[in-house]
Amino acid sequence: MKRETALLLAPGVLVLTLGFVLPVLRVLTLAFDAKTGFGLDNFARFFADSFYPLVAWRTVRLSLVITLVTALFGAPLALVMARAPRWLRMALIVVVVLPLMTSVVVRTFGWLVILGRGGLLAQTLAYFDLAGRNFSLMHTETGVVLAMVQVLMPFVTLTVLSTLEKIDPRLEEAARVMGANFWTTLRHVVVPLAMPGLVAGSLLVFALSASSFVTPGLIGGVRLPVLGATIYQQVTGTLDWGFAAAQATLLLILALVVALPYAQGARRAGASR
Amino acid sequence: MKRIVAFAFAAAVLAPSTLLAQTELVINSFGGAYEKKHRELVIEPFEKMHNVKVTVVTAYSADMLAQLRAQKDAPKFDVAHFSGGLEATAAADGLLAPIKPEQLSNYADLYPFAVQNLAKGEGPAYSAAVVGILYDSNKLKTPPTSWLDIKKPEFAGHLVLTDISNNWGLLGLLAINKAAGGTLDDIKPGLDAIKSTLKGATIVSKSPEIQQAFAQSDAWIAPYAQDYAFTLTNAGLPVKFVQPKEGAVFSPITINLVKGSKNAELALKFIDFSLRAEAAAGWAESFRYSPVNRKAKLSEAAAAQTLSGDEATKSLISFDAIKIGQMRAKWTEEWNRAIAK
Amino acid sequence: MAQLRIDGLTKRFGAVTALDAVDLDIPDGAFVAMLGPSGCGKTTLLRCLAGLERPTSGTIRLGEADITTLPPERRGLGMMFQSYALFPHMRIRENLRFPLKMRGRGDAAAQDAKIDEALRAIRMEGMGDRYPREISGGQQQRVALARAIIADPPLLLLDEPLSNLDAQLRKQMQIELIELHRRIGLTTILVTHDQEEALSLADLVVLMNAGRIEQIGAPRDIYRKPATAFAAAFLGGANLLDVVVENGLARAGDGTALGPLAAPDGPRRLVLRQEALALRDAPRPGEATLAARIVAVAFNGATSRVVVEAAGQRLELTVPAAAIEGRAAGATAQLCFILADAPLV
Repeated sequence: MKRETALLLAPGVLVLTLGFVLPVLRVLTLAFDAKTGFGLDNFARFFADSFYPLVAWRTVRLSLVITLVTALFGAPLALVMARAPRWLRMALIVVVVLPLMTSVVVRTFGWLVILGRGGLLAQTLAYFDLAGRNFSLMHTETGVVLAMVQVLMPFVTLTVLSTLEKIDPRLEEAARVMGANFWTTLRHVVVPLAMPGLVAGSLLVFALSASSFVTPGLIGGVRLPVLGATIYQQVTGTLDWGFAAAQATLLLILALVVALPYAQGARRAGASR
Repeated sequence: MKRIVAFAFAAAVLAPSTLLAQTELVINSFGGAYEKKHRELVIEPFEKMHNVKVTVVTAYSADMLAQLRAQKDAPKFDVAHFSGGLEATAAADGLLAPIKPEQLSNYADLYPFAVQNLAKGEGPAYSAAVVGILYDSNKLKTPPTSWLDIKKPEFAGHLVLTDISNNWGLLGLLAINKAAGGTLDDIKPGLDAIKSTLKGATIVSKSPEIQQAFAQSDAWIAPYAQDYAFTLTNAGLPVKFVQPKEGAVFSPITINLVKGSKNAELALKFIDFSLRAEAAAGWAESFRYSPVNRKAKLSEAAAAQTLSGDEATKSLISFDAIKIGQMRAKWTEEWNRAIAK
Repeated sequence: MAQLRIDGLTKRFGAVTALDAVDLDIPDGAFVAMLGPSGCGKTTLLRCLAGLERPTSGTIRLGEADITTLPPERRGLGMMFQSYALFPHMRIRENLRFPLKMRGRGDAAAQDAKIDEALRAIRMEGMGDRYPREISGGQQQRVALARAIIADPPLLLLDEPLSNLDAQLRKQMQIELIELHRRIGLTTILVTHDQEEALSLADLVVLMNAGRIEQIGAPRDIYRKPATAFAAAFLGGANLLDVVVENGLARAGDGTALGPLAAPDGPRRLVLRQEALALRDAPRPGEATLAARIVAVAFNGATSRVVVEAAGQRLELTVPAAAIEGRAAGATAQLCFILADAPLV
């Protein structure tokens, strides 16, 4: 390797080592640290009864739903933005990114006001006689999904937008001239070509929702624990770092198990169609 | 100019340790509005009376305990304030100097609950947070009377419980457990009682969520701390506090003498000073922490919103803080399983 | 296949008028080249025909049908883009299948047969399973053309189809396009800024300028008899010599009598093609002549390009290299041409 290359790489490698490699190694050693030295005690505890496996299942299930909904909402929005005049696109980007600029606590308490009993949503639904005033999405999985989708949508929208902008507009025109209407063009040309962005964006969303704990904690409450929350509790509350590390390791494995085939499948689907 | 600044700086650094060594106390307080009131009620009057300097370091209980442990051989603090039961750990670790009743001129005026752990080497409580039941006085014409009232069917949909990660939630659980016949070695009765209410209960983990519940979500009753009822009243909510017949739980805020303090005599004076009626009344007036001193003169409002008098304080219950520390992780696991959907 | 009829077609983009009331009839089976500088409106016209732009006013008829506002997918046309617009995520076969599938032509087997035939026609048998990025530029161009005609459109639109190829390949493709057109007789509209391409491919050239049609005609006619100064200058870079006609006699700017000219009195401009000019010591019989001074000579191999000054104007001419030997910049000579062959504009 050239000396210049090595010098250019050094800061990044240093940050990665200190900020990622070493902590991950530490988490792994903690996870496999048993009373008798190296061992699986922490993992055995995780699988001792159905509680933690069910927490893990909820985490994965919610993350998948959140990913799906963000993709369903975020990608069409990206399409509209890609087609919009420049000023409108800028305005939409600001609107989409704004939630990210807000503190998670402020944002979540905003949701509290909207989703809670007697909140904005309940009042609106009650006005149209669709639900009682007691209707509340607080402490429900639906509420968690709603709040997470709002904040994570920019990750899908912006990545899809950037791939859409790279698609030669002539391709769509060619498809139209060859007899494809707007929707078939979308299906056969735009969606497959935007697939890399959609995959990247939704993987990001999946990873972020699988590891989130603040929003699930505040909106979902303590009765709907997710892995992020139980890890957080072990680290800050009961100070059982070994068990927390084991959970973190399992979360990582779960994320990989779900994400890798998804990325593969999506890439193949995008390439072949 | 630079030289003058440097000199002033050096003087400022050196001054406390050389010139004022004999007349300075180092203590901790908890920051914010609490620390401000602390200065006003105790620290500043004490400095004036004894013509000494009291240096206040902002350190919450856990942080304070960590600092005391680190400085075990050469403590920098003279007086340590603790809440949440950490004085028990500190005493067990040998970080505190025991205080004898005869060293406190206010001893005779203190309620028994405030000095119950003096013999174990812990300092006295100078005020106390009390956990009982908050209820909406508009919705409930007759206040709840028992910890087990949470199980009443008419409260379903209107009950707010607090998660075990919150100290008041933990103490509430232990009180319900005790009322249901459980002990610190067996909290199953408490968890069963909680479980039977879950269909109609909201479980929160932070104080503002309780306010939210009473303000917007039609909450009627919630086991929680008395001082927070005051916060809710100030926010215009018709929330009152009741001491259940099985007894409310008190969580003492204690003042302790640090072992190895170089100014132990002055520190003891400060501790005694902290226990006088005026200070206890001040805490009750401003934060609705219950007074520890019988002679504390309270306004009508403060008297109504705190526990005072031998009769009322007689039934106050407390739990072994050391035991709580040992069991917390296990209880958390059991609690999580009990409440998870 | 059908006749294409354009009436009063106008397209404005905000304040810019890209097409200004264009009228054009294109006979069935014609090979038409829309020629003009960039921004002249030729591409906009093509996009209006394809349905990719909605005209501000005017009508487009294909046979009996008014297709002015018909969406592109319902016009049934074939179009080839300058960038080819092959779908990068589809193999060549699937690219070729796309118009068949979209238009519902035959079942999969029939489509396969048609695709195989097309691949054979463009000499790319066995390459159907490649992706566009895996074939050369010339092959991409052929696939794009095959894709444009595979569903038998009544009209083929070509948008600068050869401009991305190198010079040699372009020549080859021009011949293939001519052969293709002769073979299937498909009405074809080609948009190009390359006058040589337009003249060699099309049997009808539509010269456009600033949103209007400047001149329509067969390549030879439009070259030989430009109707306007713009047409003369854009096609073949002709010289425009200012003359004055007085009682049937033409005189150059410096007063030199050039000869009789059947035109009304007044100032005129004479179109002098580069290859119609010669430098000699003396004119041949029947030739008009002007005293010229050579400004520069550029040797091009078989020919040389010469810049001269005559009658106060700079003129350019292309002569056989041998004809200029012995003459250098600064020398004087007679600039000779046949007055009757030079059109007036």
